[in-house]
Amino acid sequence: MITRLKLSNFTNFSKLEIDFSAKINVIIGENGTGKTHLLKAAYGLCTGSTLYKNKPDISQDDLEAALTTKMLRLFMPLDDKLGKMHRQGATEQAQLHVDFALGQKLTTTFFNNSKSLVIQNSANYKQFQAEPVFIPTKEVLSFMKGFTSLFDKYDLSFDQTYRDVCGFLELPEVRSENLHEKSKWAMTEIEGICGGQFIFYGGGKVTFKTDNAEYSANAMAEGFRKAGMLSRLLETGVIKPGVSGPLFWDEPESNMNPKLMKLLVQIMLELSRNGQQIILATHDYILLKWFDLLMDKGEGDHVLYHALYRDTETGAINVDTVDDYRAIFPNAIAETFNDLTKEQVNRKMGRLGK
Amino acid sequence: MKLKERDLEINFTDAIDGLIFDQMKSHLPDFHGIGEMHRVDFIVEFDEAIVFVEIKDPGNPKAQIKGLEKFHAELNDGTLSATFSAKFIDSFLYRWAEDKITKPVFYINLVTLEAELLPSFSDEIAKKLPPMGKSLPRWKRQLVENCQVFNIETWNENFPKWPVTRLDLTTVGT
Repeated sequence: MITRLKLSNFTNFSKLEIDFSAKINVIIGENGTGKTHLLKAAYGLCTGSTLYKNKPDISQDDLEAALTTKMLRLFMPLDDKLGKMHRQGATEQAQLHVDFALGQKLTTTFFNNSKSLVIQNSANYKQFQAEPVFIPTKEVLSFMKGFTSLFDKYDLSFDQTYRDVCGFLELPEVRSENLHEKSKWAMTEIEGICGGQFIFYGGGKVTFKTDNAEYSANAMAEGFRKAGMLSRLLETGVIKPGVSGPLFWDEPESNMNPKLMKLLVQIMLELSRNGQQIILATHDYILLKWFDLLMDKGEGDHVLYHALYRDTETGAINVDTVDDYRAIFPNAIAETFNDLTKEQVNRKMGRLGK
Repeated sequence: MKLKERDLEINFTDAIDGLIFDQMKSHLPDFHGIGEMHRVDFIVEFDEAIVFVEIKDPGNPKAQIKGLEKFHAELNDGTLSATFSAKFIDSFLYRWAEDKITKPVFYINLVTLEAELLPSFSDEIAKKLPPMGKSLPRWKRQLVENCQVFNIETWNENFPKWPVTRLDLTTVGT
């Protein structure tokens, strides 16, 4: 579990520090305030667990090289240059720092001409064994067939999150008796609302099966395909409450109908109650409102809202963290609704009342 | 002109006339007198417009759980928007019979809800007012120029000449 992320002179952040809830974290902010960058940075810094799992005796040089490649593939900077991720105009080096729940830390730095990240501090980082998951904005079931081999061979315009999640979806399902009971519950609920389930044959072939027929995954609504991804990640044990690392989810709402959203929020809350940390970015009022309505403090639910905003004077991106949706300020989503109200008044009422 | 509905008071600073339209006490001025008709709270006249105002205050710190449950149930099942619509139509007819519909009419409501709910609730009421969102070439004038719902913050932001205030709870009724 990640407890704190600090970014200095990294992409558009001059200095940002964010403390995460062990349960649900919702990041909001206007376009260009760096929500996705924040998710990717945190995700990238958590992936050491995967590297250590594959190579327990990995040297610091190799770890630096692997994390550098990861960051480049996550952020896809111009000309694949690490230095392009250094904040423009910054005179000090870029620094990314992460704290984990059991005292593990990782601090990396780079400058605008660096070829590789430099690890400054990696106290107990090796002990952070919980693998993170990142669900990107677009669903992947419709283009999974052949995608991983194409990605590994060619320079595609997809970032690493798509490759990673496809890899996770391709894993075999864990034995039913080893599935967390809440994972089973969530999979059944998703199957109920979609009217069937996605079947993974390997090699990226995915179909959708009902009681009577089997269809191409592409024939299904995009929202269902997205819910199908969550279901599969539970089925493969990649998301296992209390065991897996943080779940990062960028704009869960895209292509989702509002009814499906309620179920997803119920599932996320239930997973978080059982030890799953979730960090998501959203533009969507309905998603926020479902969290607000469905969270139950009696169940120990905890939702932190992190609002990213640009300081009007300095232009720096700052964050304001609150645990009540109504206290979010500035709230880009609420402001949009206020703009609608204002525009209707201007169009229909002229100077009346002014 | 200040008009008050329970704890909320609106000062229509540029009004030329106005009344508490739902006055049902026969000894007071502007007694309405037809309990069977739905009624908006205020009707206020300006140089170039007549504004109907309906107020609901679920955000009142003194609101009781039971009342709030009823309010939210009615908001969810569409009864609330139907009531808002009926209030406008009946009040309009009443004023028409008084020969007081002499200027364009606006239906502006104050409902102490979250800002995010206001645009869709505004549309829901407007859809239930004739001509129900339909395009009718035979109609020569609008029944209502604008039907919209505000909370205290958006009201004050959009209508600086009509400030609304929540009265000090201890002085209400004095």
